[in-house]
Amino acid sequence: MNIAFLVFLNIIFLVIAIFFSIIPFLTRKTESFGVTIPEEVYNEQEVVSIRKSYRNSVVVFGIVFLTLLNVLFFILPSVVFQLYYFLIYIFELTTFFVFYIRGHYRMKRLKENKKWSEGKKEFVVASLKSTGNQFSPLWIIYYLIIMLITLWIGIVFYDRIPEKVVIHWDAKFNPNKWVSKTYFLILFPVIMQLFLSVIFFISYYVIIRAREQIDPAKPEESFERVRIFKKIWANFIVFAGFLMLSIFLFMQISFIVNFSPQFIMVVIFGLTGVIVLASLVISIFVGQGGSRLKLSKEKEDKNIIVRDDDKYWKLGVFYFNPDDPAVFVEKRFGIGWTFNWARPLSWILLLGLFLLMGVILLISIAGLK
Amino acid sequence: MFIKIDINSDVPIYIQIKNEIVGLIAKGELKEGDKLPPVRKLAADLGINLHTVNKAYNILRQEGFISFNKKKGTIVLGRNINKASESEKEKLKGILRTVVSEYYCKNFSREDIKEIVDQLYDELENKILV
Repeated sequence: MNIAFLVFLNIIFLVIAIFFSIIPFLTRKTESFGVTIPEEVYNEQEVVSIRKSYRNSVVVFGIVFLTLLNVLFFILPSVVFQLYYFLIYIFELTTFFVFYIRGHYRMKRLKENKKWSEGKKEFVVASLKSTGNQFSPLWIIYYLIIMLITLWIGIVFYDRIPEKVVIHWDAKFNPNKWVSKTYFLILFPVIMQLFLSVIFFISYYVIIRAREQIDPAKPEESFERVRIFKKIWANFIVFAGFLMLSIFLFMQISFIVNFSPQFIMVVIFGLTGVIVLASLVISIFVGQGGSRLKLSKEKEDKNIIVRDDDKYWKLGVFYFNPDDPAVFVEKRFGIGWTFNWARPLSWILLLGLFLLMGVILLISIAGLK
Repeated sequence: MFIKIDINSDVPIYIQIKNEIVGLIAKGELKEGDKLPPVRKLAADLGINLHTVNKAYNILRQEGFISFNKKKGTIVLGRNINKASESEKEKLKGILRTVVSEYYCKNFSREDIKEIVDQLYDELENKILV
């Protein structure tokens, strides 16, 4: 076991913990812990204290789990550690979700006691003009070009690939897993690229087609926020997919050119790191629904509040509303979009995704020997 | 350009949608040839049933405010495009009668009501005196 591996595990752990600890501060101001609230109470002391108490819990338990991860790394035999280290991430995620649930119920109770919405009118607002975020998936051509290049390199330089290709190294960078040179080997990066293209294409589709949720108290401002929010994430998806496909182009090249394992690691983690970091930065600066963008404020109508559809949000995170034709809607606790689970398309997409993953996995196992 | 629906109002949602769109046409914010969003998109954005939006669009078409076009989608026909038919005139008069009756019961004078109508008319023509 080496330190680079431990650093890597720590980074993954921290990214998850940081993300969870800041989510309640990134949501729209008309909701908190999956509960609809009037925007003006978002900064009320009791609401703020639920957010802070959640954040403190995440930070404290994050430190505890992180310490545990590092201690176990040093005291457990490395074989055992390598088998079970992923459990700590499952504990981490479960604990944070429990903290969320606690926040959710505290928020719900507070709302019941405070009766904030009394005397206010619930409105829904829709724009008759589009945000201009049109569905234009022509960027997929660039993806196809990368795939073709990847395939082409594999075919042209096939003779230069060694009979055995290293696909895994141990922690001291000694090779410990090989696959034989076959035609499938050079197809494998392309298959992965194809799979990723499908994933990124669907994500892009979801973003463009997602409901444009407008705050009725200040429609103009809210519309502008949603417009920028969608635009930035749609562009990010295209960019992230491009980097991910490049990783597999690099993989193909690494079959031919004898790169050092350190170099391979730096490239792969470097590119993945850029994607993760970029999504974190965008989340913080843009906020859910564009809520954190620095825009000129529209004078808001204080007597109007957003529709309270809490009853359709199970635990504040799973949206199930048969009366809503929208399939893709903004998440309440988190950044991005989620599905309306009352729509068949949501399940078709989910099932299709699992099926595709299964097929890719089977092909890879059968093909790489 | 937005349409705003009061979820808990006594006025049915399809009527509210219709009224909002007619209001936008009257003010000139929606002009002849402007496109309305597809039924599915508007329903999804509002989070309401498809049929509700469909109903509103159908009434708007029957009354000559919009037209459906296979290629272009739903198009606004604008103001002054078609003259009101006799039955439409009767219908509008009926609505006004109810409103005037209500004012009358609440002791508004003929002049009061005329003033209100003038004011509303001015608003549409952007002639509000500050």
